[in-house]
Amino acid sequence: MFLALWYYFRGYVMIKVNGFAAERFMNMLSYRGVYLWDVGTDGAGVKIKVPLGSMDIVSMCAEKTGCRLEIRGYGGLPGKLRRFQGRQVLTAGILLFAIGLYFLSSFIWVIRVEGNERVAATDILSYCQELGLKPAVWKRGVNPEEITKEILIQFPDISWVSVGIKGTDVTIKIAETIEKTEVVDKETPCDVVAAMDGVILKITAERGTPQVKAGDVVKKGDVLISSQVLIGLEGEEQHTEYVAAEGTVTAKVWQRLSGELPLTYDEKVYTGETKANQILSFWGKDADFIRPSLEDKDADVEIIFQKDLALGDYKVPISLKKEQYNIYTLEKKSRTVEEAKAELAETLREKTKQSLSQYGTIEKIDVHYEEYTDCVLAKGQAELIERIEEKQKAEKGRDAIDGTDGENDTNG
Amino acid sequence: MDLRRDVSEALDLPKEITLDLPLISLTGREEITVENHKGILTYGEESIRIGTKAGTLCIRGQGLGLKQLTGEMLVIRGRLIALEFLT
Repeated sequence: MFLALWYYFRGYVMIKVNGFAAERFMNMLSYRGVYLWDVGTDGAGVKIKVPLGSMDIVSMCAEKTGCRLEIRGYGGLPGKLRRFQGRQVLTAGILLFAIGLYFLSSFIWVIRVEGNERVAATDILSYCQELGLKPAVWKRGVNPEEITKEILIQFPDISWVSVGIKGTDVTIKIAETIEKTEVVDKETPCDVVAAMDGVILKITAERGTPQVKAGDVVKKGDVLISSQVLIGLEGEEQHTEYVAAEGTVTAKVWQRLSGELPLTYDEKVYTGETKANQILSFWGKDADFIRPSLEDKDADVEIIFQKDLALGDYKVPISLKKEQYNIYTLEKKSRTVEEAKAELAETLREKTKQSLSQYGTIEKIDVHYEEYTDCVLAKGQAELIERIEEKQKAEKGRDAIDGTDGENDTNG
Repeated sequence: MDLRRDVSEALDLPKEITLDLPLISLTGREEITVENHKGILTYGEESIRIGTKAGTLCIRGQGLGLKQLTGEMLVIRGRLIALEFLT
């Protein structure tokens, strides 16, 4: 079996022997150390496979035994390779392929980050780019140890880094430090001020001195809870301390609303007819040679497919794009005054709802409409209940930290 | 000659080496390997005769063919029917 495989690589000849002394011929060959295999009868003769290099002995033996020798064909790998002889372009192609493969494999094409949870992979990748580790960079020029060191210095949240180059891929494995709990700053003095104008409904101060009470009208920027706290009983000696004021302040606020809706309008009616357009982009510029004819019809463009060509992670500035034109016709439509009013009321309410914070609620919405021949104008006011507190660093904060009393304080 | 046989029998030596006898192995009834043969005498699809030190070995069967042939061993494939020593 292995001999047959060996002679497949070395090449063999398929011969046919005719004559009365075929057996003698075979004996003579095997006696002379020629390996014969796949012997079979073929009509009156015998067909045999013999190694390529032993043809001299074979023809000599055939002559001696008086057998008629006939070469039926050549087999094995050399025979197969002989078919490619004289095909220079093919040889050059194979060579170029091998060189190209070697050349391309000496660059880095893909960079992966593993193990990150809090640190964004894009941050690490962009920092690596600064260090010279980016797609399409020569592999020999990358120093993993130095990048490891630099990443550890740059990102304090990373405790361990390993940069491994495997083939054309770089894998940056990282381990993050244990997350620090968020510290609420209770040290730096700050005031709670109004974020918008309104009427106070309720004020709850956790720290600091409330400056307003329910029913008070406040303007944006007014101090609601002051950072100054008077320490000491009344009548005795008192002194001021500064704290980080905190608390919630609920107020009634008003918001102006306005809207306009024409009575006649154009509506896009899609005909269902679509046209596709393929675009090849180079460096962001579209080379759109074949553009479908729209025959002066109106159409919306919708990008249904976009593919940026890339070698690994290295972006080649060529992209394929497929657009679809959805053809529509404009139809004139009209609505009644009542419909317009209802629609306006709905859109205004929607708009107000979106401007609310998570604690806010709509108390009521007053709208009055002005009717014109071609449109309806809506003007109104929304009454909202909102939390209006906002922290602002107290101007006197530094004095307090410095240890001086804020007695020349002019804060109102 | 007989002395050789006696010695190899007494010492339990392999006779295919000491006496140059053929070593014939059968794989089922589809393959026969003959080592230490002395050449092919006749060759055909129904019968193959092989010369050995122990006499002419006649192998009969259907669709016989030589798979391998070297100076020391040969392998015959086909559907075997009979093995016979003629002399």
